Order: sequence, then structure tokens, then C-alpha cells
Amino acid sequence: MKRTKMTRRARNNINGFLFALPWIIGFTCFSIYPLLASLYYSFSSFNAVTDPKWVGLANYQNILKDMLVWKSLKNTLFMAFVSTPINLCLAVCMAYIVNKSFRGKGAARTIFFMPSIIPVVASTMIWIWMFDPTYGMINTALHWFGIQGPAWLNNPQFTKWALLLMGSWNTGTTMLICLAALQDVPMSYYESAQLDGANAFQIFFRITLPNIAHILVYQAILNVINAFQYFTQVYVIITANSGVKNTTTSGGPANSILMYPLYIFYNAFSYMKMGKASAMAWLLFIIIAILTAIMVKVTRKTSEVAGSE
Amino acid sequence: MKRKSFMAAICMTGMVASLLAGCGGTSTPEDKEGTAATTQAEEKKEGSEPVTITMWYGIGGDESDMMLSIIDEYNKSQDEIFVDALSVTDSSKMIVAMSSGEGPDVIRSSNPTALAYLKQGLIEDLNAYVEKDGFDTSVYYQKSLEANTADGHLAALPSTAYTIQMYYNKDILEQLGYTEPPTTMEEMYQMAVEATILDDSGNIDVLGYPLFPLASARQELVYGFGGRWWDEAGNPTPLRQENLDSLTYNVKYREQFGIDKVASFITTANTNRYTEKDMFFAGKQLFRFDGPWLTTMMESYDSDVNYGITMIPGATEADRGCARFESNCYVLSGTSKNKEAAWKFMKDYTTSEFVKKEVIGLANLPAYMPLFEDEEVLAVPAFKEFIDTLKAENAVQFPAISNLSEYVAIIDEYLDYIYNGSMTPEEGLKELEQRANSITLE
Repeated sequence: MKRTKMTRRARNNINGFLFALPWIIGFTCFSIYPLLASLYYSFSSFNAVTDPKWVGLANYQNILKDMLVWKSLKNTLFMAFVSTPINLCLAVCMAYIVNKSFRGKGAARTIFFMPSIIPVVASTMIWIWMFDPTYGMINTALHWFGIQGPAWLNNPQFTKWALLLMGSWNTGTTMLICLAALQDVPMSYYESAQLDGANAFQIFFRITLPNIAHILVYQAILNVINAFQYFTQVYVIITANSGVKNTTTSGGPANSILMYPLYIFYNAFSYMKMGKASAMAWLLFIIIAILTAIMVKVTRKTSEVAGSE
Repeated sequence: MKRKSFMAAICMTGMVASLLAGCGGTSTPEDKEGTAATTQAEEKKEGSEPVTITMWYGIGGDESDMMLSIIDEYNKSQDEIFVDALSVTDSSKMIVAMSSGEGPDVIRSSNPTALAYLKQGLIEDLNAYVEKDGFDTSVYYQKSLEANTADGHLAALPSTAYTIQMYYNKDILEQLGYTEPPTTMEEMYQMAVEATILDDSGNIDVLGYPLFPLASARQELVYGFGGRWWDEAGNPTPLRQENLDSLTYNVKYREQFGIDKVASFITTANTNRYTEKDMFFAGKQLFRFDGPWLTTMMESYDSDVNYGITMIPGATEADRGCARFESNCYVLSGTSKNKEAAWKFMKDYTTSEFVKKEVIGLANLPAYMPLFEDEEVLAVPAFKEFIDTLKAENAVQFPAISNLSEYVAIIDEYLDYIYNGSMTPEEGLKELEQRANSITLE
């Protein structure tokens, strides 16, 4: 009897394994293999077509010496750590507004979320037009107030701020998650606080914020990771502004919007330095892994604090 | 239980099969949308079995349709080779395809790309093919052959070429009292300053100095002063007096009319380049350094600008007309499975009536010498002036180094610093030289 049970369990395991096998094969072929291959390539001189030649740590040494690697990393870190708090604040504010009861709440939710469903390339093209210093809406609006707007996408002092503005337009998804978190906060907390005479400011900072903090940290992690993969917007802007298609290796004015993933792309497909590009990708992986580990720890602590309160 | 296992095995087999179905298999010419094959497959002559070769070209839009129709005509004209042409504007796709051995037999590219591919060992060295067939390459314009040769190795056969010359707005010049365009850089600067118009807000309405397009400011506006970014051996030489002279004029103009104002004008001009709002088409640029295609574009947008074309001014007479020379060409992929047929197509096509159609259709200059005297080619607006410039043999070639694009990216970075005033031309070029020496130019 016992033997039969064991056999059944084993059979169940085999069945489960067989059902999972297509995914396992796909994951091995399309994730594990490329991952390991890129690790090997990062130690080789490789142009994607001819056979790779082992060069040891040369690519990693090259990265350390390449000023554009550091510049692109600096630009990417700026986007990660400046855009993330701005976007989170905006998302929380929008979620707070649409969580209130007022006429047109549905319309407001739709309007706030709508930019998120517009394809990135299309929205970036719209922003390029809006940022145009001569015909653009932004400088025209500034002109009404007597302000001379800059060449947003041509002046290195303003390019990254222009990207931040573009990014803030696209916080609908974060807003939606924050809204769900806000709706999860028990109403009894608010009622008690009101009975105790707490004002709106106190209610927000003592009740709302601690109760949605774990969601905010999670969103912050996602935002930072997304910022490290920031590519499409800058690629579209640079291609549109360079006046040439596909052949540009520009990083924008004075390389001010040269993001790390874009520089990996240039190394891989324009300079045909797949080895160096792989090494850069692994460096990015390590940076993101460290940041994620830190933020996960922070999340745990935040959740524990929220739970104890 | 056995039934369950059997079902699981069946499901797994089906899923794996469907998963892998998308990974393998080669597409036939008939599979591909937009290829010449679709229309031609039915028209193949009965009994003949042409060798099918694939050809990728990096041209999109209406010009892609034009390329397809030329290849269509080529296919109909003979029954030995069938060219399956496909527009591939994404250069990364080219690399990925070649790396998986699924690349095309022939690639239409620019000469810097061809040289970079040759240096990387991605394409065939054509010397052996030329020698084997005793193919006479002197039928091509010498500069276009040089543009496609590195260390004596021929990377590609040239099909079209282009250089840059100066377009000028005749009406603006006449309003200023000039009857002739400038011949020296000083004259040009003088006229440019006089022609620049600011609106009520101080924004530039008419740009006098040819600071747009930026690529021309980096090249022709430097070459006209006798400057160069590299020496004959291909070593970076940014810190030259002539380069400094060019940048000094450039910065002087920017400072006189406002660094931000000039930058704003250029940004708008970039966004609207080659559209109906193009600054030159709209009469808002006095001088424009551009290629032979500009006239065709002006015609297509019904621009009524009264323009003239002349050689780019020079600091000295020897520097007049100095402009970049680039060539479009056909390369034989190293992963080609039909190398002989691909080579035959390349040499037949680039020395035939078909390449003439490409020249006229794309408004690029010919590389095949007999077309220099062809009536139909010379009838294309501006071609006569541009071909005369080519005959003057004053063109500047990019050096045959594989990491040219890296060097150009660094030059552009420092020009940005100089243009926006964060570095003086001297500081910028000095630092640029240090940076350029840190990358290994091969």
C-alpha cells in the first residue's frame, strides 16, 4: 500500500514536470543560455559574427577607463533617483484626489491614467513637438508669462529636466496602484482620527502614508529598475534631433541624455563590441541587484513598522 | 494514471513543438511582405531556375518602393539570378541576422559601414573576386573606389555617391546688395552677419551663418577653413589651427546673436529638416550646406525659394569646394550562401542602366563613370553642379578606421561644449585630443 502511494506521488511529480517542461525548455533556451553566454562574451572580444576571443578582464578594464560609461551611468542614476520621488509624489497626489468623492471622479481617473496607454514612441514624438523652442506649446505658454523658454532638447542643462517632465506625464499606472492601496486603508482609522480631532495634514502623515508605505517602497523599486532600463525615449529623441536614422551614436547635446542602456546598445550594434556591451550589461545587473537588495530590506522594515502600528 | 501521463506527454510534445516552431525554419521569398518576390514569383520564365539571392537595403518609405521596382526590373531582365530584396532600416537587425548565419547575401550600405564590416571580418574582401574575373574597376569614379577600400582591400562596389555644396538664398543676398555668392570664408561670415534677422523677442528669424545642419558645421565648415579631424594615416588631429579658426567664427556668430537663440533655431530646424517647414525651404536660411537631393525635396514641397548652388567658400582658393564624399555601395556578406551569384549581381547591377535608375530615383550622384556624361542624369536639378564639384577632386574622405563612429561621437560631444559656451574652442579641442588619443583607432 505504502509502495503504491509512493509510486503515485512519483507519477504526479513526473506529470507535473512534464507539464512544466515546455516552460523549462523555453526558460533554459531563451533566458539561462543567453545569460551564461553573455557572461562568457563579457570576457571575450566578440563582434557577434566571428568567433569570440578570450580576453580575460580586458572589457571590464576598458569599462573603468571609458568616460562615457561613467557619464551614462551618472545620467541614468539621475533619472533613477530624481524621477522616482517626483513620480511617486505625483502618483500619490493624483491617487489621493481621485480617491475623494466628487463629481467627475471617473473622468479624472480616466484623464490621469490615459497617458499610460499611449505607446512610448508616439508620446515621445508628441513631447519633442511640445518642447520645440520656436513652435512648441511649452515655450509658447511660458512666453505668455514673459518667460523665455530654453531649447529644452538642445541645451544640456535642460535635457534631463525635459525627460523628467516627460516621465511625470506617465505616472498613471503608479497612481492606480496607489489608489488601490489607499482604498485598502480601513475607514475606521480615519473615523477614529477625526474623533480625536486630527487635522487633514496629521491624518495624511500619521495614517494614510504609513499604511501605504510598503506599496510606495515597492513602486520605488520598480521605478528605479525601470529607470536603469531607460532607452526608448532617449533613442527616439536623439534620432529625431540628429536628423539621421539608425546611424547615429549620439548621446544628445554634450551626451547629457546618454543613458547606460543606450550606450550598451551603441557598443553592441554600432561599434560591434559585443564583449564590452556584455560586460556593461553585467555591471548593470550587479548594480540593480545591489539596489534591489537594499530596497527589499527597506520594504521589509517598512512593512514590519506598518504592521506593528 | 497511465492515461494522465499519456495526456501530459501529448500536451508537452505539442507545446514544445509550438514553442520551437517559431525559432527555426528559413523564410522563403514568398513569405516576406514587401519583397520583390511576391510580384515576381509568378512571372518567372518557365523552365529556367534562377539562383535566388537575398539583398537588404537600409532605405524606407517611398524610396524603398522605388528600390523594389528597380530590382523587379532587374529580375525580369535576366533569368540567371533572382534577387529577393528587402528593406531593413534597423542596423541592429543586420548584425543579429549575420550572427545567426541568416543574413542576406548582399547588403546595400554606406561606405563607412562597409569599411567597418570589412575590418570586423563580416564581409568578403572583393579583391579576389575582381582578380578572378579580371573585372575592370576603373569604370567607377576613383574616389568612390577609395571610399570603399581599406588597406588595399576592396570592401564594396559603389553604386551612388554624394558630396555637399552650398545652397544660397538669392533673394536675401540681393536685398543686401550682393550679386554673387561668397567665395571666401570671411566674405561668407560678413554676409551671414548682415543677413541674420531677429524677431521682436530676439529670436532668430533668418539664420545667416550655415550652422545647421550640425553635421555640415562639423565637416564642411571646418574643411572650408582647411581643417581636418584626422591626418592622412587616420590619426585624430583635432587640435589644428584651421579647426580653431573655424570654431572661432562659429562661436563668434553664436555669441553675437545669442548662444541660446542659435541653439533654439537649430533645434527647430532639426525637427523640421526635409519637411515643408524646412528652414531653407521657408526662406529662413541664407546659406545651407547640403546634398544634391535638396533640390528634389524643394520641388516636392513646392518651395518657391529663389536659390543658387555654388562651391563651398574656402579660406584659401585651394579650400574652395572642400566637402565630405561618401558612397553607397553593395557588399558581399561573409555569411552568403550564394557568393558567386551575389558577386555577379553586384558587378552587373552597379555598371548598368539599373544603377542609373537608383541614382536618379534617390537623387544621389553616380559612382559609375559613364553616368557622369549621361543626359538623363545631368538633367536632374543640381546634378551638373555637383558632378562638376566631383570632377574638381576636392572631396574629403573619412579615414578607413573601424571605430570612426566612436571618434565622431567624441568630436560631437566637445563641439556641444564649445557651442554652448562651457568651453572655449582651445579648451575643447585640447581636451578632445586627449580623449581621442585614449580610444584605440584601428
